[in-house]
Amino acid sequence: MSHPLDSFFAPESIALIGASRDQDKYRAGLLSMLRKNEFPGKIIRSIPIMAISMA
Amino acid sequence: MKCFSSIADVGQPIDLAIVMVPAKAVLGALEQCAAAGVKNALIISSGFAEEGGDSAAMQDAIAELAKRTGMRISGPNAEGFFSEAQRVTATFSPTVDVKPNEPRLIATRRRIGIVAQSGGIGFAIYHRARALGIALSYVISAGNESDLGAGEFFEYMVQDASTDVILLFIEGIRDVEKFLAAARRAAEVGKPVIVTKVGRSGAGERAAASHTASMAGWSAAYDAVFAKYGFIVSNDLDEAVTIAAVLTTNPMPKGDRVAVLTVSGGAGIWGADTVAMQGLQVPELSETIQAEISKLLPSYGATRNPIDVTAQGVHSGGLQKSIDLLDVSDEVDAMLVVLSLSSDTGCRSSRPS
Repeated sequence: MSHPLDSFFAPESIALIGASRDQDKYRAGLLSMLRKNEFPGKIIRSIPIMAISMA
Repeated sequence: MKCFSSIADVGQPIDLAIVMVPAKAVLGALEQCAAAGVKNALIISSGFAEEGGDSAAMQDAIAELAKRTGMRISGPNAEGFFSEAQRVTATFSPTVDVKPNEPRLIATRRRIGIVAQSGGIGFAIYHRARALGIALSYVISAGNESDLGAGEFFEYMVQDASTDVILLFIEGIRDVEKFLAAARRAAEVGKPVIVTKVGRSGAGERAAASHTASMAGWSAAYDAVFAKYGFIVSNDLDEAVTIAAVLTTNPMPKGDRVAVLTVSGGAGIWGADTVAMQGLQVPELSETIQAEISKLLPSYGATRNPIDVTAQGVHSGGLQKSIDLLDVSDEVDAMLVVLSLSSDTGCRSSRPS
């Protein structure tokens, strides 16, 4: 049985938008927690250009 | 791990984008995600409708983007979600940290699912449930609910095969139709729902508006819905978690007849009062079964219900045998066993050495 929110609740790939190493502990922590809890899918990190220019 | 400067450069399908950029950059990041075909976005960043003014307008723009593009959006101002079943950690909550010297002890394979608007409370419920050995499917904090709301998350938990018992912590429901449909469905399939509704006082209602921009609404209307669909209302965090522990480790009783067994006469009276005040029956047992139980107890024990096996009854096996007798009898539907209440921690957990 599939549900429209399966891709939200059981994603095969996750992108972290704004997760750079030099940011605060919350954002860096999220990446390490994903790994520690053994997320089986793909993790992609991205720093949107928009975010940097406006921050 | 490769780090991309733009989501457009990734070149592969993305199911979930977790957005952690500052509030003013969120909308731009979401536009990029939608253009790149990202299916869902979760906005951890705060500073939107809960602040009012221009910040609220930014949240309206996020809601509009979700409608326009079809990308589903959770948050902003959300603490995200965690799934033990799927091993997804989409949250910064410290409660999901893995400590190598503290193995996860699980008492039951039946799992709870938690939906809360407040991340602090949602993850606190998870943390306490975890300490009791209760397994988790999902805990999600809905935050400001620009698009995805608590009602829709609740609906997901109702149909989710890995969720056996649902805990809701509600400030105010925005997606009412979805919430009501999910409530009806939960009642139909017999999935238990434990609910805590806050924002019942004037001051609480005011706080809800500035916390997750929720309208707490009319308590009587919420309570009517909870009653209609058989929700278990609990306004105490420990109580809610304890109820969840009972429902994940025991089958649902078929009726309302309860036997109270204890080693202390006082605890037996207290237990009987508590059960009766919940509207349940504490029936006097038949003479036949009383005669059987009395053989297991010293002469000063009590057999009518409550059953006081006395301190001796613990060591002689009278307690366990009384439970066995009641289990096979057709005189009660549930048993409340009250052991010593003098422990200083209430509940001790042991770790494997």
